[in-house]
Amino acid sequence: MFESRSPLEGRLALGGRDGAEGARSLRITEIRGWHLTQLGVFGGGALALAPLIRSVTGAALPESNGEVTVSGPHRLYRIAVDQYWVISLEEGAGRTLEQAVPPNAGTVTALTGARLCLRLEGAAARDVLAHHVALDLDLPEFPAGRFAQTGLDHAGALLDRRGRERFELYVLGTFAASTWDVLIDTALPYGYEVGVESAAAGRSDSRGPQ
Amino acid sequence: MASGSHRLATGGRIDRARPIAFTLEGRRLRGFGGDTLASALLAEGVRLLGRSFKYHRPRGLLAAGVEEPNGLLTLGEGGRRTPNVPATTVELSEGIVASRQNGWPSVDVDLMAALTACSAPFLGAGFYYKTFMGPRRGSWMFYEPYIRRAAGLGRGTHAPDPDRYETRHAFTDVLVIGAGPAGLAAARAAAQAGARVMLIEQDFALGGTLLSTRADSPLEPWRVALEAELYAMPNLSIGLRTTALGVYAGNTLALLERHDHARPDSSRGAAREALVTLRARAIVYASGAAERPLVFADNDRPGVMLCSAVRAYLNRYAVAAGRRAVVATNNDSAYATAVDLATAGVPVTVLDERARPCAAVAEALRGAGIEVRAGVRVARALGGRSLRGVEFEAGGRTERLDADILGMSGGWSPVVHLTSHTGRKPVYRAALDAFVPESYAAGHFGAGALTGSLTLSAALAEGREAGRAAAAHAGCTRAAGPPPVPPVPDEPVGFEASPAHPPERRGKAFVDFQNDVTTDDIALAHEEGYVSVEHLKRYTTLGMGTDQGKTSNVNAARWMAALRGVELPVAGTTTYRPPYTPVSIGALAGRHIGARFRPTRRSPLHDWHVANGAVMIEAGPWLRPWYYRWAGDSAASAYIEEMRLVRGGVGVSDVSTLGKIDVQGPDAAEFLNRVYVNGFAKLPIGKARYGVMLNDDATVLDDGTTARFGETRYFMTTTTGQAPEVMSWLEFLLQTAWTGLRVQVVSVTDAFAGMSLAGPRARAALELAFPHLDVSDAALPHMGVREVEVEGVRLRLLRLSFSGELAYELYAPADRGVALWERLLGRAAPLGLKPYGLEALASLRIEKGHVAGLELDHRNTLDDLGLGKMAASGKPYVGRELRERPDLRAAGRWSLVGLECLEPRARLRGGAILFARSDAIAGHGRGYITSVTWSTVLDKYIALGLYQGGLAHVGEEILCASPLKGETVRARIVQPVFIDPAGERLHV
Repeated sequence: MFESRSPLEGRLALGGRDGAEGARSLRITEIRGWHLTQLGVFGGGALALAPLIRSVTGAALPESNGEVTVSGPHRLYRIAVDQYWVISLEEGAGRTLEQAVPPNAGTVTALTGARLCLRLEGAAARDVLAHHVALDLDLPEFPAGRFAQTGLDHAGALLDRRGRERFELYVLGTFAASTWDVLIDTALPYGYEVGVESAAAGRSDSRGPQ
Repeated sequence: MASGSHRLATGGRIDRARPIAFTLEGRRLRGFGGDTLASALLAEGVRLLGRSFKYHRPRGLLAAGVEEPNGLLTLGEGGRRTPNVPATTVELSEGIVASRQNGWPSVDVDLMAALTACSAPFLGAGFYYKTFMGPRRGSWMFYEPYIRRAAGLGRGTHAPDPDRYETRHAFTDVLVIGAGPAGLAAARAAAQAGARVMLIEQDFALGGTLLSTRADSPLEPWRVALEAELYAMPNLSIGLRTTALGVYAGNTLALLERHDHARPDSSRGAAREALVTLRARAIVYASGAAERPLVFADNDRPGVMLCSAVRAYLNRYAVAAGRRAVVATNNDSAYATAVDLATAGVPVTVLDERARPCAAVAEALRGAGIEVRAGVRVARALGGRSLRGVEFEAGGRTERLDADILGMSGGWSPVVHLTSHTGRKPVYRAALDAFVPESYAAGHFGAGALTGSLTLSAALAEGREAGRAAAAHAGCTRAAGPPPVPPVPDEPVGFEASPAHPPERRGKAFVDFQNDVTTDDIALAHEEGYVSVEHLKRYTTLGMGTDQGKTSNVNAARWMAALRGVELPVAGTTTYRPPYTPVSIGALAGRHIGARFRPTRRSPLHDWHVANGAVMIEAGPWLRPWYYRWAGDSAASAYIEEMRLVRGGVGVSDVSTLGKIDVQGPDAAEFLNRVYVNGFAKLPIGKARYGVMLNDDATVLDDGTTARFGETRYFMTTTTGQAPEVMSWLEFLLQTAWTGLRVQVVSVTDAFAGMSLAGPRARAALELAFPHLDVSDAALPHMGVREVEVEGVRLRLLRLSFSGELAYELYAPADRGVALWERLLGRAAPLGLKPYGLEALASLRIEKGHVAGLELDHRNTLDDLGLGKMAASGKPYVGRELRERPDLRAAGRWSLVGLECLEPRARLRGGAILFARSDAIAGHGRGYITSVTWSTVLDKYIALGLYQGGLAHVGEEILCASPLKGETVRARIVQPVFIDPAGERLHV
């Protein structure tokens, strides 16, 4: 069997640590069990493709940067002009899209293994992220339901705000261990817990536009 | 005052209930909470704080803040040793270890002072340009170590720094820089208007000049109440001990937070310093003004201080800097110092340069028993290691006063550094005889002494207006309240600029105290033609010390203007650049140190490699297995064993780092056809093709293979090193040059784990791993590709070879990579399958003559690399036109050759310079070696290289010179494909 392995296995096993004040104000969790597909549309064809995408996912194609649309197990992100991410809890979502999207209308690329998802939550989540991402993380400026593409430790990452003190960070797989080390190091004074969670278990809060 | 101490029995803003112990050169001393190191030393009677940079003159405190040029101490021990720290900026905390600088054997008894006293006449500005140039060319290199040893102030350490430093991002609507009266009013108004406000202050208390007023004046409770009001505002954050280092484009600032006072524990993650990159929608500059010294002979004696410093030590720290004071001034602000000294019981005389100072103020002082002499100028400070008296000119006569403290005030220079960082030069204001900001960038506002407004009421009013306007600029327009109303009237601020030339006296009149620059040096610079202030600065080093000329720039410009016979605005100012105050390298680096200097990329198989005997090596940002311990204990021997494994059996190598790009769309074939020099339009489904792509200047950008998996689906691989650049290039072409092509490109480098199974037994290994797959030569010929599904997992199988042996590349989803790898190794173990590393991978391809990164250096063309015949003649492709440039077609270009070593006991080296046998070994030669390996097939060293005329010289014996190693080795030029030129091993 081709079992799935995370590059963070060894690091997760090390567990958490108390901060300078003896508390643990951050929880860093690797979220597994989700599937990423990148959808590409040819010049200006998003409008024509949108009904098909809605029929497959139930969600509208986002129209502006930073906007997440959600329907059931699917979250859609507009990551660039004519490029979208579909993050789904359904394993077959990518193949369904491959079969549904005509080749002359768009492209579908499976990217699940390319990224890892790290959830940062707790009172220190915002402060820990502020060490690395050049984004205004104040709630009015970056509310729940919005995302941003940013850099963290010189590698690209997508930051999805899921709640007041809850963020999900999609990092490139080959940078994941390095990114983890950086976040843990930053979290040292705050104290942190680590863990692994299934995406299906944790997706109960924060809805975006349907 | 207590005997032996300069600490006043009452008063000040120190916490006498919190005594703090510290040491100075092992001597135990004491201060209080709220002290700086400087105030505590002054209180303990330590007046001599160091020796000057060049002349080793005794020096004491000049100032009380960040502008201090003299009182630089070394703090800490071991890895925490930090030289050149202004004692005036150090918040006193328990256990500080301090020592003074630049005296040998000590600051108190400095033999270097005697030496430099004799040689002082020869040590004027620029002396080293004139005196250490001979007798021979290169003599400077003899003198330099001695000069270095004699010069400088503190000494650093090479011990590792145990402290932690952080970097962080922050955002705000309104940033207010400076928490003096103007800053406090601005922050209050901006917060009242509803903005997110950040107020920063480099001091450890709010108030600025308010902290220098008497603690028992009505201003103090007013200040405390204002402070409490600000702390209670939820949308206002206050950063004490935070310095704005620089202002950059886009309203971005660098701030330095200091946490030394809290004695941070790095083992618990607490940082000593944090560098904050702040982005603000609007900025209010309330950075105040710095007092200027007066310039006269020996104005550097310990005990000669700025009036504002005398007052600060007296009223904030309850320290009387002396027992008999003289106040010398050209403006009214010094009178308050005189009054406060007298109130504290220190006899004081005021010497005012102005013939007619403010009559009311002078009368008030006289009524309080303070002598005021008008129209007099200080000519010289008397004393050696400490001030003894003051000599001054009055009505053509020279008089003397005994004094151990001289407070001098030459006026006020607005602190224009930060506003000037935006590129706006300040303008001269005659009323101050100094420079103020002329204008501000959009969203920037100034208030208070920075703008030349020296009264408290003006500072508060301007601050309030600046805060309101800044908030409005940030989109916050709630009504702000009126400015705070001070409970006392404004202090007078009359001023008259000093005459350009100090009174004639023998002795040095210092302009820049830290770098020992005198009026004579400025005159010398003028005489030698360095008349612009920029040249003056570089020639004399004026303003180039750690204080960046905060107390000297304006005086120097005045002096040079006078020498030039022009007005001060014509002389102008030098360019203000960040940082405003020195910043540690630690803060700049933050946590980007050691292993975290840069991010590390790891293959999905990384942990397996480490657990199974791989010795890893950095390859760009990647960590890759260099070799495995099964093959040997060192790279030098292990890679040869690994090569033998591949040539004689089968090995597997991790190639996950290769760039991988998903190219899809109806026009994908056309796109690839334009990008590659060779044809891709007719690549069949199920086949891969080797391709080379050029930059648009026709140098080679990269090579790789592209496979076609479907009608509109292609899978491109690139070299590891060029992957990001190729991806960017493809996106650039689609977004700007070929916008009509229906193509999408997506990086899938991280999506796949890749491995290369190579060797004569590679097919057999594959059959053992996947017994249900037909991988025969017929089913999967050379350059054939297939997508297969095994146990529900999609794999990609490509029959490609980099090594020259029968080989396959397998790609699995990244998270399944280890499983695939282990399956191969486990099931093919009977064939002797083992992993091989980067060194062997790179060496095998040399034997086969494949070019790689070392040859693809963006300077070589297709023809240089022997690939010219690949280029299609009938289609356009990127770089096609510029390939025809005459220079790129010239005969005799350096082009790819193979080299065989002719000396059995020698080796070839990468980078060796190539010469013909008849050449002298000098200069750039006729080429160089790009890649070298020991050949297990030929049993000798072989190499690829670039040689003038290339393969026209096959058979010739040449020389390979490595000057740094002192080696010259004979080699023969051969065809670059050393093994199996017909490719028979690939087609089995």
